[in-house]
Amino acid sequence: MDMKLLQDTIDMLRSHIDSGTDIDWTDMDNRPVRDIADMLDAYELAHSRKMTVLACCILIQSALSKHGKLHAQDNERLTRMLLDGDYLTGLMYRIAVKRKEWKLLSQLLPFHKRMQLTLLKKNASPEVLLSELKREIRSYLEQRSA
Amino acid sequence: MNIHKQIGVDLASFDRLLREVVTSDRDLSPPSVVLESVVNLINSGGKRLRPLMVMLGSRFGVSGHESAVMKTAVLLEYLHMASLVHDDIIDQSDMRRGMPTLHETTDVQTAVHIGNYMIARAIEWAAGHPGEESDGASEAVSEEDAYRLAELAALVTELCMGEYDQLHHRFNYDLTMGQYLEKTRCKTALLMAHCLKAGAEAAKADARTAELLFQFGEALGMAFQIRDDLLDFTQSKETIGKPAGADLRNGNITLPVIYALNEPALAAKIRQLGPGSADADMDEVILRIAGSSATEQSEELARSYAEQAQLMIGELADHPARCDLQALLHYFLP
Repeated sequence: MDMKLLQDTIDMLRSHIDSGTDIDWTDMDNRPVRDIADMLDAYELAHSRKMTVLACCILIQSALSKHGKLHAQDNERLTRMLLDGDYLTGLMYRIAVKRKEWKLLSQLLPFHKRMQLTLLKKNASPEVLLSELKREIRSYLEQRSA
Repeated sequence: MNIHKQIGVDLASFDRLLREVVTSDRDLSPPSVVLESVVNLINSGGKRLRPLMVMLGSRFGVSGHESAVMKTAVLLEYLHMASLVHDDIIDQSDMRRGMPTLHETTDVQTAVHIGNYMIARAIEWAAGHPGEESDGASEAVSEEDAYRLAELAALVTELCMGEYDQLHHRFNYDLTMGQYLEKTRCKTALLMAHCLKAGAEAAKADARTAELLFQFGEALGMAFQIRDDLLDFTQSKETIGKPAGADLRNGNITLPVIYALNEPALAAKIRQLGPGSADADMDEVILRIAGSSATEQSEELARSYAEQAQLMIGELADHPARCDLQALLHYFLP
């Protein structure tokens, strides 16, 4: 795996995230992101564009994770998780726009919307959704290299 | 006359457009809790002030861009409605506009996903695929407009910062004036400023005009929120629809509290209050703040922001739509 891509992407994300959010990343499962980083290795795409793709995937996965941990019993924790998820989703839009990746965003937007609909169904699995995210990214990369 | 009639905005047509966003979504098939919930949110009403500001901003541009303006207005109203859904969860509110809140009629997790869906769907509907026929919308948008619309959706991060600030500073009596103003800017003023600017940009107004409208909206938003924070202390429960001093009871430190902390005797009382304080102690302090000079000082700051907004109108004096800005200023700050 391209460790430089992963590290550069994380550094880029850190530079965009306002320190006032205090978002906790330590509980993140980084396997899905590593899978996507591996997949990116196989495609001809500028390093900076790969960073944008990977950053958007990290943000989608992180927002999914934060919004999956809402416990109504603890309002302060619930507030934090809800805000974290909202902030990370908004940041995905901001980064995609700033780095002029409309095609990527227009691929991810319908996916992100359908993901919310899937999550409303009983027994929705985050793992299945992340596999679908990987398929979306593969489709985007195939179109770019066609 | 209400502000919409005064400015000449047809709310019924706009609400039809709001409903079209969700009814035209091919990924939803009735019966659907999402479809039903979003339509109910739209039908429950609301002042639609943000779209009104978008449309007003567009009057400083040129005609021929009505579709882009309406898409901008719809997106910003969806952003606002979705943020209210999430705010109601955070604030544990069970009623809004006389109706049970969404998380009450469904549950917290469902309401969160519906809020997320609303923003994603609104951008998908508004921006679609630039250069192609978009799903349910009348015309395709340019790539430049698509970027502009997606950037507006990113305003969520700014709204969140206002909420983060509030969360981090619960019952923090050392909150500085600068921190309070920044929180207020993120929570209220920025969205109002962006609505006016986005309307102007959608209608291809020149950059200076768009920036002046942004500054007008920012000053208006600051004045409005400070007045709102003040009303929380000075108005009765019946008038504002929640107990007086609800902000302080929830640990939200607003401008009247910051000023009241400058009065040593009152400051000592305020600093004793915390999450577990008795209602009677809260009631006493809230009454004392309402009767202190903190209210006049807060009003003075609100006035100075209103004057800034008035100055911006002066900068736009040559434009015919300046009268609409004046009406808006009068509506928010009568």
